[in-house]
Amino acid sequence: MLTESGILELVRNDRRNEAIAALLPLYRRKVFGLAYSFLRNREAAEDVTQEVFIKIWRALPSYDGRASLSTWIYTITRNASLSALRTQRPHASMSDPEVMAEVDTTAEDSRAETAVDAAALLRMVDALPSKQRQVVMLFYMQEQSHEEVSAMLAMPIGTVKTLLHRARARLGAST
Amino acid sequence: MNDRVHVNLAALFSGLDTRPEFNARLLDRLNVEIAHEALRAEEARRLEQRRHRVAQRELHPWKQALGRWVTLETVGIGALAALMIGSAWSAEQIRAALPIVFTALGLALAVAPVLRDRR
Repeated sequence: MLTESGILELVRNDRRNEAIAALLPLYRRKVFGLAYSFLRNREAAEDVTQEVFIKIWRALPSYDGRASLSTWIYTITRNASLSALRTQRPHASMSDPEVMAEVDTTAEDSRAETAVDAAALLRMVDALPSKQRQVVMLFYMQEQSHEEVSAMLAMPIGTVKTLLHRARARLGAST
Repeated sequence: MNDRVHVNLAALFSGLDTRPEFNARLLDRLNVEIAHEALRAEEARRLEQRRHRVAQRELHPWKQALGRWVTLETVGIGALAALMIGSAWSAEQIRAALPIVFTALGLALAVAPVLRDRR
């Protein structure tokens, strides 16, 4: 797997297509997760993820390396998500049928004593204040790394921890 | 209580990913984008060539004017006129007419750019 400097080297050598092929497995899920945390709609989040990679492909020649590649990609994703959010229907919810189907499968796979009504939990997460909801989703999507969530949302680690703690407490009280 | 929430949230979100056809769809869109960019680059190159030609012309207007006026026909007409004047007039008449010819030529050269700009 290529490192950031390896990807930059490809861009410098005008091998943009190879660079994007290397970026895709590294960032696809992260970009999708970030977009999904804003949009709460799988289809819209996938569309934004596609847009983001097209934008990255177009902008790669002008990427100057001042910010790290991940910071740059997350900034593009946040901006694209916010733009999409402005045009989205007003009452989007995470409980769309496809996500529910996937959630059901995941919940069935987990141990019986911990499996709860996934749909109900998803609805509770959906009802959290937006920042808490984003932090919870990204934390559990991204291998539970505070640092990664902090970078994705451009938020201090302390804030991420606080939001996560409050969200868990709220969810714990509701279950 | 919080431990159970933690485990349930991990089960809920850890497997969430794009659909399997995502990469193929993105590749298709990128190919379209690559084709468009090639077209845009070709169009930009043509536009740049055109701009360069216009800039060159504006940089050397006298070259353009000279190129327009100095043709085989005008050189021939000039030579013929000189021959006719040379054979019809004496050397003294020519010498007397020279200041008038040069003054007229100077005036024409001075007025020509003003007239061109007004057009």
